[in-house]
Amino acid sequence: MSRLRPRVGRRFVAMLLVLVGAVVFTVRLVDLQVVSAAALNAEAEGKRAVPVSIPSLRGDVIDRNGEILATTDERYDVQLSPKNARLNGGEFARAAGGGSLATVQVTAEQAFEEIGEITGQTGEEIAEIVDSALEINPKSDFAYVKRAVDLTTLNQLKALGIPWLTFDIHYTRTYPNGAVAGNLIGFSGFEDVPQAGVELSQDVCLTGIDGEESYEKGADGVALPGSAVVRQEAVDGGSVRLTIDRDLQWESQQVINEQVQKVAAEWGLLTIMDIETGELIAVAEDGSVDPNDVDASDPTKREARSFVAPYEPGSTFKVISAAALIDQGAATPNSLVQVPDSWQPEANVSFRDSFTHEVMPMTLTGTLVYSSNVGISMLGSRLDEQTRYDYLTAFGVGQSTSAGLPLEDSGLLYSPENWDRQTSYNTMFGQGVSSTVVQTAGVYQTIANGGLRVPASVVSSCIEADGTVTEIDHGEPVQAVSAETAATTLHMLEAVVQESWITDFVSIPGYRIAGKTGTAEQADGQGGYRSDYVHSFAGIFPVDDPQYVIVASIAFPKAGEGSVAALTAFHDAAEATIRSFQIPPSTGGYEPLSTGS
Amino acid sequence: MSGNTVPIDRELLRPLRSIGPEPAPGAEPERHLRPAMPVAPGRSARRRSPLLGALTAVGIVIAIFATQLGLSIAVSEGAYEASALELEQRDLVRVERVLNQNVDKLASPQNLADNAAALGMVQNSNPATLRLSDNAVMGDLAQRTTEVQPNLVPNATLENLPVVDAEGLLVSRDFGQAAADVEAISDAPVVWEGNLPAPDTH
Repeated sequence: MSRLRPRVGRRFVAMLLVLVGAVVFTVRLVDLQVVSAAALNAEAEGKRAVPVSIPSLRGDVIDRNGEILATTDERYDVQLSPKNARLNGGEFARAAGGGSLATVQVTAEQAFEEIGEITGQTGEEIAEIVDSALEINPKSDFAYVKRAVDLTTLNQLKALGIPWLTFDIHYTRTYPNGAVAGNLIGFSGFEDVPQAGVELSQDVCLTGIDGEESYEKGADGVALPGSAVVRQEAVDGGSVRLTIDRDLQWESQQVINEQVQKVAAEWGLLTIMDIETGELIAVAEDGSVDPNDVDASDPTKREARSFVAPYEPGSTFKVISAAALIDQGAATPNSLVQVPDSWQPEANVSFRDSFTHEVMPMTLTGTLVYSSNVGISMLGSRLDEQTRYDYLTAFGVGQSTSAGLPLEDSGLLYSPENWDRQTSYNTMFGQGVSSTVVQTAGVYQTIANGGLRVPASVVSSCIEADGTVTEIDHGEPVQAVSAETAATTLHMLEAVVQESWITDFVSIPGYRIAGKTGTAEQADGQGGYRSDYVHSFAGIFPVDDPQYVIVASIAFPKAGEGSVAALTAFHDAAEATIRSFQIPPSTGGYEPLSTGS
Repeated sequence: MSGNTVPIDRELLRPLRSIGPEPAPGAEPERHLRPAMPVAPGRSARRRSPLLGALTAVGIVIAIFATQLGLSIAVSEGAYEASALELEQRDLVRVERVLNQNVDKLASPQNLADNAAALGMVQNSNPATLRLSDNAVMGDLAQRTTEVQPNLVPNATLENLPVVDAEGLLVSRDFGQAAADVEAISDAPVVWEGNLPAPDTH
């Protein structure tokens, strides 16, 4: 036994050492493979893998037919490494070409000249970029030569084969149709931050989600082919579909620009609305912004004034008073009143008609045909203030539309408790109350649509990259007056076109048209009214099967007849609409209504 | 490498060993009692020289390595080719994008109207229609035509793009922007640049 003891002891020690060794290795193994595995993996990957963000594309804005109004253009930023451009005098070898393996030495100055020739800069300008970057930081590795060059320029620059010249993708917004619907689409500012219009209001839909990928790079910093790993796919932004028809929008802008120029007006608006759906087919404004070149436009005309600039509509709103009277059974189209040309119904309240006349018998129809402020007030005051206010509200006055733009004004409608005596009468003929041209179009849409007011819309839906379509909510339809009232009122509006001086200006052979003019005074911002007017015409056609409402307004003409300009704008836009949508001519004819005289 | 050769060597020897009589399932106890028997065939195998086996083994190893090398070259070649094709695809997508955008701007109403005007086209402002059910002519047959209005809606993307006139020649565009500019200028005072104009007196 004693002979064996040292051997046993040695074995035991050896076993122990082996065991200890095994335990140490096991612990280390577990530590490496389990405990700190994640951290080590990350560290290892960090050394060779380079994470890159995959930019998502901003979505398009398209018209009702899918025509592109706004899209994202890929441009390229040209960059250089100032440090490398000056390294060894910036010299580099370039293949001599002609299939030979020979190279030629190119100096930095030569390269600057070559770059400049393509980008439209001079060689000195580029040398200046390099030197000023090196002045700030002698190890500078990055400077822009030129930003957002196009593909042709990019390819020419690449062909130069300059090693210290690099390129990066730069997305910019482009608007192939220029100022067509520029007022609605809006525009982007510095670094493509949306600033107005649909670009701003639908930014959430248009913006995508950037993805992320990583690739492994070799010792020379070049990406190893096939090593790219996409960690997160980029999701492009959705498309926003408008209710606008691009071609009709252009024609409308042509029409309103022409009329505004013809009478040297301060501004002009022209809106075309689909009666059944409340969709705005065209929202034209004079001098709309070209989002490609925002600086070229008048800063006061860059926004969608049809939505944000309410004005007193004037006589176009007499139709609300007439519809309210008929709906309440307080009058019929033939209700007769004796109308003087000026009237003082109460102390300190007075107003007059736009033309002088003897006391004239007028029916309710007549007050619209002659656009008599006195006549409509005499009849309208049969209804109390609250009732008239309720009808104005039912027609959408005083409530902002939610057509899909960032800002839509409600216009001004005081509640009846706050009406002074003059305002109480003025609101019957569209003064002392203001509305946007879109709200005015809504009033006529209601009359033409059997009394059912369908909310105005300009953005119809958001189509996400995966094809999901989200309709935009514009509010609930409101039955403002009964269908019979609406039909009777429409008949009176046809009488206005048929019986008054405007017939020759608005008639389109074969089509029955109804509508009402308005010549409204506007507040001068100092508590009074300006001496010039906003001239409007709101029209509905074809009367036998009402499909479209067009409202044209021409403000403060300096030369010529504003009312004729508004009528002509309506007429030309109506012709364009008929051509665009191939509206068949009317059937039936106008049944005359009595005007009373 | 040497670790590899050993088992392979044994593999090679196995068929030689089994040259002896095939073991019958019931014969095991007797075979245990014949220790000298396997020696004789083993000797006869050794006489064939081990060099051949070794060379074959090395040859196979080299073949494996060569195949492996070949495959990995093919794979990385494929990776470079894929990468080159991806680049080509990217470039083609870029060209496609530029062409699409050119189509978009050439299809803009401003461009169409400018070209129509340059070609001398007129517009039938209120077309009449024929109703097939009763052959009735709807609308007015004495049609007005209107000249195409000069474009009044600016589009900066069309700058420097010519239009085609009636002779099929490219002529410069009377750009809508110009009209807008003139209007803008007429409102603002203009700063004169250069020499003041002097009348030509004779």
